[in-house]
Amino acid sequence: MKPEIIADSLVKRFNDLLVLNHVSFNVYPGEFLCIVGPSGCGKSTLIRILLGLEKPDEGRVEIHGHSPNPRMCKCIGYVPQDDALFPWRTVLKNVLFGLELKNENGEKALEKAHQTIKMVGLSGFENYYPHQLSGGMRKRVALARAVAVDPQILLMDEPFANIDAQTRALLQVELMNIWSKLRKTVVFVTHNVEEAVFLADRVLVLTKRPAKVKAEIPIELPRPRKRLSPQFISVRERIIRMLKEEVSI
Amino acid sequence: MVLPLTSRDLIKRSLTVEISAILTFLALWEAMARFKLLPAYALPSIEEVAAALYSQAVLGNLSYALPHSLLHLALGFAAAFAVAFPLGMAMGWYRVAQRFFEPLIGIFRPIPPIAWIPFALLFFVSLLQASAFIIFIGAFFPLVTNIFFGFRNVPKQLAEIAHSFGASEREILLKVAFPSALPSILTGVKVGLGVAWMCVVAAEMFGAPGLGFMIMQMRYVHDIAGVVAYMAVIGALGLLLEVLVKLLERKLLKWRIGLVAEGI
Repeated sequence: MKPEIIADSLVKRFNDLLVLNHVSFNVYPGEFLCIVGPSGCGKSTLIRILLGLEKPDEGRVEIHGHSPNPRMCKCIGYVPQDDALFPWRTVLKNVLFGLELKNENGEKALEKAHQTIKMVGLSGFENYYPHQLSGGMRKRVALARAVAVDPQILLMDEPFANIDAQTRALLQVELMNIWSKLRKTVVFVTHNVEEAVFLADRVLVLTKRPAKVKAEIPIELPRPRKRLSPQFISVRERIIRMLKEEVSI
Repeated sequence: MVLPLTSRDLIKRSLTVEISAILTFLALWEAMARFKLLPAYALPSIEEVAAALYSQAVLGNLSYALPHSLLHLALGFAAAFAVAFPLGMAMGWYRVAQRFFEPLIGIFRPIPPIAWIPFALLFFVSLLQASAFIIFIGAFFPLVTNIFFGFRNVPKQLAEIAHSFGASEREILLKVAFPSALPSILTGVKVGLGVAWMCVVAAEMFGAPGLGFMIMQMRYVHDIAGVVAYMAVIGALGLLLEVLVKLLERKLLKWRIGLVAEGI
């Protein structure tokens, strides 16, 4: 199968600080890839390079055979770390944002937005402003906003950070349901190993800064995954051990 | 759940306190005048001022001066906004523009509008233009600084979201930067309009008809009650302008949290 995203030997420096040290990986169509690594290892920088917000100093990225440029492909849905909702837009208007930029207006766009809002379980909250919503609800809106434009690729940068554990587990289950329905290609950055094992087809483990790919671990557990099953725990522990090696050195 | 108060709620809620403030002030004034704490030629009583206002209205001076002052204000403020908006936006969005214009603004801002009068009279043919220019100077600096702050403080993450959807720079400015800067822009309008109105006396000191001109006329004929009458008109209109801008703010910024607790 042809990869949808190719990252080839990416090097990124910020002044003298080497952040990415020849990072390479592929992402295949419909795949759910999780990237885990110690805090500050350059995971977010990777996502920013895929978005075309940063240029790598060496190496190259190809998305559908072109260097990343959302303006050209309009194929990316991005869910950032903080939900970054537009505070002056209601839930509905936030979800419509990407559609407006694609010049999709009127009844059809509205229907699409309502469908997406329903899918993330926020029907009835269409006319609320972000500051009137709970943290978990805001994350759902951010996901709906990214998904509404029907992108081929979803880039998620620790989207469930700063959320209480229960809500977080719930959001993971919902994300799985949505993903199994839509089958987008997902690149999901997290530092939470359990989250990665619960979600991913494949987990990419990065070393501490400067980041290299330490291991690629396919997760072949059937879905929906049971967090307390022995197999789940053994994969989780294996990855946690790898990360511990990185932190203790 | 915090629900934003409507403007009607706010007027209902707050008017008692506000009106008692004004009544207290009027009572103190009247007491000072009545008990001759200041000589009568220096402090007219409310009654004298009301009489002066009435006679100015009957003579038609008030209805002649008022629209002229409002015209000066409108022209000067509109011109100031027309220049300050693109300039403030460019300064907030492009670092080079900020670095280029900031020193110039730093030099010109401390010069009081009144100091521009000789220049205004030399440069402009009509008194109307010269007056509007003085107002322009007053309104311009608060406008440009606040518009600049608004565009400079657009959260980066919001612009990046738009970028990820493939927005052009124009679309980012229109759909992200402008709404995000709007609270600051409206603050600029509020402050700028206030300063502009303060400049109306300076703008009419040199002969253009209006409320400020009338104050100077009353002064020349030693009619202190007349002076205070026009001062009161300027004050009352200033308050009215501020209330109008705040109502506009409430309408445009109902998505904001902080606005809920703020009174008129």
